[in-house]
Amino acid sequence: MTTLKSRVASPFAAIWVATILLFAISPLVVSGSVGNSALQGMLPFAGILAIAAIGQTLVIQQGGIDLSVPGIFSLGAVLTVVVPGGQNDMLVPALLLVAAVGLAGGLLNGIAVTRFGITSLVATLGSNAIFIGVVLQVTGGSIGFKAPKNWQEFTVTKVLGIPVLAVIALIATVLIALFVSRTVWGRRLDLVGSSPRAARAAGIMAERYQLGAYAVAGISYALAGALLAGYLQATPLLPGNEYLLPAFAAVVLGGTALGGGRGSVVATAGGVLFLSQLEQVVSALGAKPSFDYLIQGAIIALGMGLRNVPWRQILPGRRGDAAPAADTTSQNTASGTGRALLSEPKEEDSIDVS
Amino acid sequence: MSARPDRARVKGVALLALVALLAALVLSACGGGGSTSSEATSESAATESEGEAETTGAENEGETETAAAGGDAWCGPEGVKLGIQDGEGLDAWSHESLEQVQIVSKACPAVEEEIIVKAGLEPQKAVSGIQSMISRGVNAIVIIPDSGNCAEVPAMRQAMQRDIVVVPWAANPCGTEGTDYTKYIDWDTKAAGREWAEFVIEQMGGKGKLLYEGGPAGNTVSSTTAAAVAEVVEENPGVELVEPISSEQWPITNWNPAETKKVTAAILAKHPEIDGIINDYGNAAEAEIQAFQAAGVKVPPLATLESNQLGCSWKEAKEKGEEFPLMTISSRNWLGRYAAQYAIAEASGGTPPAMKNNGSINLGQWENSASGREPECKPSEDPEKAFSNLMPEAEMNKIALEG
Repeated sequence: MTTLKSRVASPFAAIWVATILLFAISPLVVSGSVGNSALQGMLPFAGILAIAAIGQTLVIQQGGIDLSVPGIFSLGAVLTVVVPGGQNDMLVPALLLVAAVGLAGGLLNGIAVTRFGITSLVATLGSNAIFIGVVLQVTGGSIGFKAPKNWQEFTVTKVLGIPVLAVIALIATVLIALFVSRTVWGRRLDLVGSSPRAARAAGIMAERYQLGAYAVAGISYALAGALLAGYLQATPLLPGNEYLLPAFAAVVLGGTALGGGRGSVVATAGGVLFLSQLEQVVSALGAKPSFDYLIQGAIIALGMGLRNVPWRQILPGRRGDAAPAADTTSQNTASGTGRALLSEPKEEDSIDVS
Repeated sequence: MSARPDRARVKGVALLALVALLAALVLSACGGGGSTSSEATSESAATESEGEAETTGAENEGETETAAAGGDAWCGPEGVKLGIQDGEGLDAWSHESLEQVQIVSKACPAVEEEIIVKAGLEPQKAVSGIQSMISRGVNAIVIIPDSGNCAEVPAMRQAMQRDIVVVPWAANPCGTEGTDYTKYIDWDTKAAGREWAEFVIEQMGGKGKLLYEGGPAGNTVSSTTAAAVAEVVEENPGVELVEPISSEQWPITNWNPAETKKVTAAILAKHPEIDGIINDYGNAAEAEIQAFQAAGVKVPPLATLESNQLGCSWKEAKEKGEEFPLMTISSRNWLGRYAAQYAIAEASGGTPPAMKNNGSINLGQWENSASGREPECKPSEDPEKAFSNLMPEAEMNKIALEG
């Protein structure tokens, strides 16, 4: 009973309530918007976004932010097409290269942040420029090929009627969630995200876990790009540009604490579903793309802003529940409908590696 | 914090920068090896110049096609420093366009230097690009002014005031000839929109639901073609537009395949029965077809711009017995040759080409599966290749020049 109660009260539950409500309302707003055709169109893109958002969730959980999504994502997409040059037999080496490049990109970010103490915002902004430069250099401004046929066909296959891209995202989400919640490494990752100092005091090498989060993030962006290249059959030069804001918005919507601490890739997947369905409905209504950006911007602004509202002092019956100092640690979900407290005091400063 | 960690941090940052640079170089080399594009070397410098000016020598070797359309009277004796600008610059269409302009510029010995600017659809970069060209002393500018809604006009006027020849092409420059630019050369955009609509509506049997999809909000190409399509729809009372279109609104794809697929999926969810489609960009149309196929909906008659991969998709559908009527119009990159000729002629003392209809060229149809001119597909070529750019010079002249 206690477990059920705590789960319902979890800050990560709110996004699922909102997503279910959105799916329930959608057919009333746009007929057919949860029909098979609509879902078959929406789920593959949601799957790709979810895979990219897994990486962003891990980084944000570690108190960082990753602005290199466009660069690594685009590099993954472009290499998937350019390296095989349309040949199926080069697909596996190309995908391995994509994973390796994603890993290298993530490690580059992670080393910059953990080893040299560069703010993640600055480090990933700079590395993103490098990755985009590499994309332009690799392609010379023109891709010249389509993705290998086998990869095209794989990305449009269905498993029990569900687009394989959504299935891959689901599997990746479950695996990461299980890793974080059920393994010692995962629990330590959580602890490091919540309080690197406490983790260090407990004898945990915090930087290694943070580095690991960036590395997994790099791989997730690169693989998401590779999947998009297959699904579109060919790729634009910089497809990752369209994934920075939505990936970030999905993490915020999911309730992962900006600035580090508690996070959930499952809740982020809920955020992805919410955003994707909302985009579908908004598009079907004929609204301009600017509306999508406005919504995503508003979600992020609310997510950031609501966290800083002293809810305990404002809400009746809550005044004096905690010391004022603890109020600054309260965390709210992006939708503003749920509240959560970190289970332990949150450090305000960034990682000190000196 | 002690001085030692500070020094260590500085060293570390320097080391990191070095590692990043090395990684970039290794990756570049690796990717370059994977690319078989014969133009990768000559074009790479230009590509990196997104939003900034890049100077290249005019005597670039490796260009096999040197015969420019319309003879060589346009290439005068006086030296020319040529500015080439594209409001977009990074997609395949822009790539082909630059190639076409350079075919001409490289064929004229009077062109001493090229300055290339790619604005990446950012008006600020486009304006600063023109101003940079002015300050670097160009004599002529060939420009695709599509970075935003009429964004380049003031900068083009500045260039004109300094006696620089300005020839916009491929996108409506707004402004006035003689004041804001020297000569505007383009397809007849309205005629193209009408051509598309008339074909699709004919294939629909004069009734049913028609979907038009266009590029970024405010761009003058989509604005004009959307208005022309709406005009033809009004003339056919049996035809209904799936989504409202006018010179100011249309379903926006941003000429991006991923967005096109998403937008089309959303529209299909709302309107599962669509009888005809028009898309003002061939590669976006290809994504539109994929969205129909993913939704399990039969692809209806389609009119758009030519593209190799579109032709291949059409052939694949035909082989599967899922053929759909397809009409394309030339992607018109080759008109860039005449824009370059005009600019170089005016700046070098040559004779400008005598363009039909004051430079507004009715391109007619390029491919039409219903009338036997099947869409071209060459799987070994660049998927985004536009084959009309390879048509014989005489054929180009016949379409574009007087006499």
